Amino acid sequence: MMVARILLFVLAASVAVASDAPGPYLPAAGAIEFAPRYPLWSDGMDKRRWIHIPAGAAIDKSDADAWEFPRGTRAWKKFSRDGAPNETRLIERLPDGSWRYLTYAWNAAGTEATLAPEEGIRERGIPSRADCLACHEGGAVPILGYSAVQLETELPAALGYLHGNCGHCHNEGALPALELSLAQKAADPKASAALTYASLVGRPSRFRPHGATAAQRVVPGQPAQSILVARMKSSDPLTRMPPLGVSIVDREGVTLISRWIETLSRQAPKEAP
Amino acid sequence: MTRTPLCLALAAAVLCTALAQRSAASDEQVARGKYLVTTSGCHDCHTPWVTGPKGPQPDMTRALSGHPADFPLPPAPKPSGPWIVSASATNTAWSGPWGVSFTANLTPDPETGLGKWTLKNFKDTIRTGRHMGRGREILPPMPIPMYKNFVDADLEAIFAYLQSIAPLRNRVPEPLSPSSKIPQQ
Repeated sequence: MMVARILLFVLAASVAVASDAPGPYLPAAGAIEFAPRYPLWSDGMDKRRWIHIPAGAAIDKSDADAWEFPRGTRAWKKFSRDGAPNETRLIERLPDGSWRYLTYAWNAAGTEATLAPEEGIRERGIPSRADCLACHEGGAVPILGYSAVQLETELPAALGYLHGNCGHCHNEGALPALELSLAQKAADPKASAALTYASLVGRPSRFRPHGATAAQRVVPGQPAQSILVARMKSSDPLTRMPPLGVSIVDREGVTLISRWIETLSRQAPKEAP
Repeated sequence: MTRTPLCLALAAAVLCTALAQRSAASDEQVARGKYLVTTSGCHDCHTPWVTGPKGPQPDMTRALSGHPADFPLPPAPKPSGPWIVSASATNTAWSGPWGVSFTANLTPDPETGLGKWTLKNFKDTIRTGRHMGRGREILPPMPIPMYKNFVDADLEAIFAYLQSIAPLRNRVPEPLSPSSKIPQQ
């Protein structure tokens, strides 16, 4: 009886703590706010990001391009438009080493958020759980914005843009069939830039617009002829890139990439820019 | 000194046995994959149909090579009343509320089929309903809601079979969304 009473007391105490704790969608006490250098375009939404590493634990940075986050790591991203929060996404590393992805939809007053269903909320642009995996499990580490490239590496603007917006899927590991690597490496940025250049410039495109008998990913000097730009500019959901999380074209991004293509010599140089 | 060649011979024997077992399992897997492909309706849409003496039938010389690139189509008819879906005579192009879809080349041709795909790309596609698990959505009438329930072993068998068939070069056109202003070829 005594044991049962103690157990009940412990249970009641833990419930009380849980109900007093902030919602899981709020950054934990001690979480660090950060900003990646090469952010992902999300339809022009304002985004704030936090990361929390458990006390006493540390990130193993021995592989500059695959930081090992300790179990218990949590990262939040809050999406707002005109000051009104829309959703908060939470990535969490579980005790067994796997990762969990949750999205919370904010109420109209912006006072509280609730867990979004597995299939997401399409009309609010809130992704499904499967969509989380599509982007976050294409690279070496699911946390994309907190990395050596994103925090510590100086890249040419165009390459940084391609890394932040495309590299999480278009890398050597996720989609080898495409032979298209847009991810940059902190350990050897020159080599990754050369690979990006070689896989874009003058390379035939798998995607061909209707009626075209040939197409190239990037035609040096000619952004209007380059499939990379055409897919960034497209408002057609079956054509545009990235294929999810975007419905409004990133005009600044299109201009940045177009200008970069304009600067490329029509004779493909051997060296990366 | 005599132990080394003996060890090598033993190791070689073990390796050969392992390889033979793997090859046998692989044949079994390919056979299982063929069974699943022929009982799950893959040929119905991914092999173009032609009209033969007995009426429409799949053209097995183009088995599983998807919508033929050399079969130009006029724009799909407009939906009328409750009739909202149209299919081409080949059964490889479908028009509906989702736009126009063209069935994919499932043969192992490296440039136009699945030749460079990894098993993971294939499984991710079926499980998520997105091209290669990461790209655009796979459109109807591909029965993703049903096929995503295949167990891993079945998807692995299907992929093993698809990689074992004759590669056929056929560059299938991209799908058209309902809002697409691009004329069909």
